[in-house]
Amino acid sequence: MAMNLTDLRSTRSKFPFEHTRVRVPRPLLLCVVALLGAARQVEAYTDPGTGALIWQMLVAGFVGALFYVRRFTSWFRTRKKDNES
Amino acid sequence: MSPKASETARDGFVSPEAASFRDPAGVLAPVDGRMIRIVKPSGLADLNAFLRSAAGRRFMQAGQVVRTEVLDGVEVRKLLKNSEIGALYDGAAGQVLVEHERILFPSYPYEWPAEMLHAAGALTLRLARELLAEGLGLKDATPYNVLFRGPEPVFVDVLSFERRDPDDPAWLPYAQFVRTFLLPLMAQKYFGIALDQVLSTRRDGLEPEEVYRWTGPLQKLRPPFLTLVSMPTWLAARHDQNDVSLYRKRSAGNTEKARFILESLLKRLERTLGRLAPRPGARSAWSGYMQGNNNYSAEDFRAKHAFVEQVLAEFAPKRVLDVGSNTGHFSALAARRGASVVAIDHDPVVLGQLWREASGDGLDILPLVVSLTRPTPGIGWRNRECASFLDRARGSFDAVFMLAVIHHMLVTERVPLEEILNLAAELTRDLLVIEFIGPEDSMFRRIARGREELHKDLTVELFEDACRQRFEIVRRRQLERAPRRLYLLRKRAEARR
Repeated sequence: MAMNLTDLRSTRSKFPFEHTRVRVPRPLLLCVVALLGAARQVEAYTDPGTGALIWQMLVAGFVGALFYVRRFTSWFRTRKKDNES
Repeated sequence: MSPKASETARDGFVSPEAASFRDPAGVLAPVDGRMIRIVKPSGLADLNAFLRSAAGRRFMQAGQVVRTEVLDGVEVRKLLKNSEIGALYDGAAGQVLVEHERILFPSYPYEWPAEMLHAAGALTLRLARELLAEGLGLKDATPYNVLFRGPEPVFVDVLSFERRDPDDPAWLPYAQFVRTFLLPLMAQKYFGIALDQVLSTRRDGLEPEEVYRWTGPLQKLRPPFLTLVSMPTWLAARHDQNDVSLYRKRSAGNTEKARFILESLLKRLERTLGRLAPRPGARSAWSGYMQGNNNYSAEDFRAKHAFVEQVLAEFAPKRVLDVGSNTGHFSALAARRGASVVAIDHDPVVLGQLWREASGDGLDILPLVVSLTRPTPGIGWRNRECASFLDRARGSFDAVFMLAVIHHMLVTERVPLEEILNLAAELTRDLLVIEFIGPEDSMFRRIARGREELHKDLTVELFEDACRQRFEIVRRRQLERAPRRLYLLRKRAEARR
């Protein structure tokens, strides 16, 4: 099939998300693409909340780390202020 | 249905054997129109902690949590003397009786326009966030915890509150909140699936896996689909289903950190809920009706308005049912005259608009997506967990409005005239304001679509004779341009009993 370079570029420029106006970082996108297709048919005894609970815990881990970062930066700022005064 | 069940259904909540049977912490039972709850010892400490908390008192004062009072010994003895609640109560075992304010007309999520589900979700999240500061939380997060007083959501399940482990960073009702609030709102907003289609058949809402199948490849990666639908679906697929360690109690090892995590989660949920809010100004087949997609001249509409105003001024009905309310012009008239109005229509878009106006103007109007020709059935365990619309509505109204609606029932739904009037007589305790629309009417002809032959006998005389079976005609008014007539009917004395 004949396809010149301009065509290729134009297809590329449309991907990913250009027309959706959402910017998603490339590495995250790759992880997500790696997960794609992994959806499984829900079976008997599957808890419908499992996935949401795992996701909540993953985000909680990240936010928990953020808590220490915040604590450190506020400690750092107060120390700087003390030194200045 | 047994007399007991229908009586309790009318009283609002549901009977002890049906309503609150899932909750081990207590039972709800209506007694002579009062809402009484038996709280078992296992639920008492949590309830007391809520009632004593500053946030709890604040929410109850604002009417956003159902007003609740613990009954003293004298009151309890009085209640036990003359009611069936005695069979359920055992004071010796440490049970306590509390009384709730009564919500006039209970409604269920599958009868709400999306705006109301959104408002119920916002209240649930605000409660969770403000209670967190006082070491309290919610055991569950479902729209069934919420009823509406007019257009305002009221959190009614006071046994949902619990004292939290302050180090626990997890919000266990998260998945339930997503399933019962966020995903139905998402289905409505992005896929045009009405809430009743989703919620009348699924008590526990939509599962992420189900919505995942509807989403396109790019949509799967886009927020809010990525976090609410795709991530949970992918993660669940990779999780070993025999591994139940996921559900063990968690500790952040630090109270401040746990609270930081939870607050951030609840704020994120509030933002997501905001994104899923239905847009104002949405359109539907019926949204342009009041702006001119009807056959009333300005004078005719003024005459109709004046007719209804006069009825309201003369009889001052306290409770009104407006059938086929559209955006609620006549519901608002009644509410402005002090009536408590239930406005029903089958179009969720016009009711969403009505809800916004009622809520903004503080009008006592409860808009419900109900078609009188296919009213909400009794749903759930034994079909009695959530009462049918008719069981809640029968005999509950001083006045019923059927304005510009009977031709739809007669022609589109093919319900006989006598049947429509029989049902109206069951719904109203006294008045019926009904508009007669003859077969020569342009709108009648439009929906008859060549089947005029079926309705050729429908005349004013026939209509009036049918009305007189159960009602007295108090007055009538012929509109000038349209072949339509307004009637004020009063239920006959023998039918009123």
